[in-house]
Amino acid sequence: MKKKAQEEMVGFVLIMLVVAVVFLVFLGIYLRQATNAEPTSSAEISQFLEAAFEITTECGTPFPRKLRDVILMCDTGIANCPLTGEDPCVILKETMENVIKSSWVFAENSPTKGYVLDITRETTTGPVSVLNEPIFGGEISCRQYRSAAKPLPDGITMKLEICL
Amino acid sequence: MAFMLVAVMIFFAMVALVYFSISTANLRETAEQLREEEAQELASQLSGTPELAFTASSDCSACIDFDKAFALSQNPNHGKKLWNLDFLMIERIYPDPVEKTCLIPSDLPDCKNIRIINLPEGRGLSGTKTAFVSLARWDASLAGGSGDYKYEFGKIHTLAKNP
Repeated sequence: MKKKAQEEMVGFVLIMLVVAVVFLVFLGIYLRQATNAEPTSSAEISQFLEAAFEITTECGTPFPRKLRDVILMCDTGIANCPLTGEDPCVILKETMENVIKSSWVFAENSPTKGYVLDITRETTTGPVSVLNEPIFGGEISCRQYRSAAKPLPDGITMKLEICL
Repeated sequence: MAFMLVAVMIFFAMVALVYFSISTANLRETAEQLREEEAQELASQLSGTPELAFTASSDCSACIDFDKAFALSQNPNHGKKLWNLDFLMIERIYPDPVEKTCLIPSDLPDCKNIRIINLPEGRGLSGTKTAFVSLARWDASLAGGSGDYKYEFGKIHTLAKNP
């Protein structure tokens, strides 16, 4: 009788061990998926970029250029906006920073923590940043992102990632 | 035997818990994506209607005509007849607007909101859908004084009627 009870206990412990191992395996797979997750594509950010391309900037006032034209000017190395003389790349950076900060609230206790905006041109050696480096704001190292990218002529792409 | 049965039951219960927690997480993601797509569809639909679409120039086919929207807001009943919505508002985000609603022509062009359909009494803003849009308006100071269209950045806010 004693032996049978002991056998039952051993069997029970073994089963509990198996359950624990299986649970840990599932947990590991789930966590690995979460950390390796690609940024989720966002229709909202895609809409944002499409609308942002149409913005009339200060470049060239009183015949101002749209943001999409200023991006091309910055990419081709045009140093000055016509009539006003500002650097198109500076206007591009300032305009995008202002529009992004006006559209979302970036704070620790906000759903959106930070952003990364990168404008790149495709070359034979890989993508090259039009602004020399991406534009950052807020907290950018986080586990979840929403992002979207929109193409422009000449192989240029504008990509915005919002950190959640 | 009884212990073994209990342990097997606990095992299957834990597997089921893990499975449902993973699939629920995916459901939330899907719901969020569907919500965003719905908002995008809504913005496309409204900016395509003749009452709001910017048709004066081929420069921006998906723009909303800010001047038309203001004209619509002057007659609140008109908006209610056109769209089956409890709330419709166009908000200017960039360039930085002045914090006031566009009520009379002298408020333009720096005012912030155009309310085409006002919220009925007792109805809150919960459930409002928003989408980013381009706004086009006439600016007489551009093009050396002869005027041209200026394109700004904004949001459209809509709230469906209660079923």
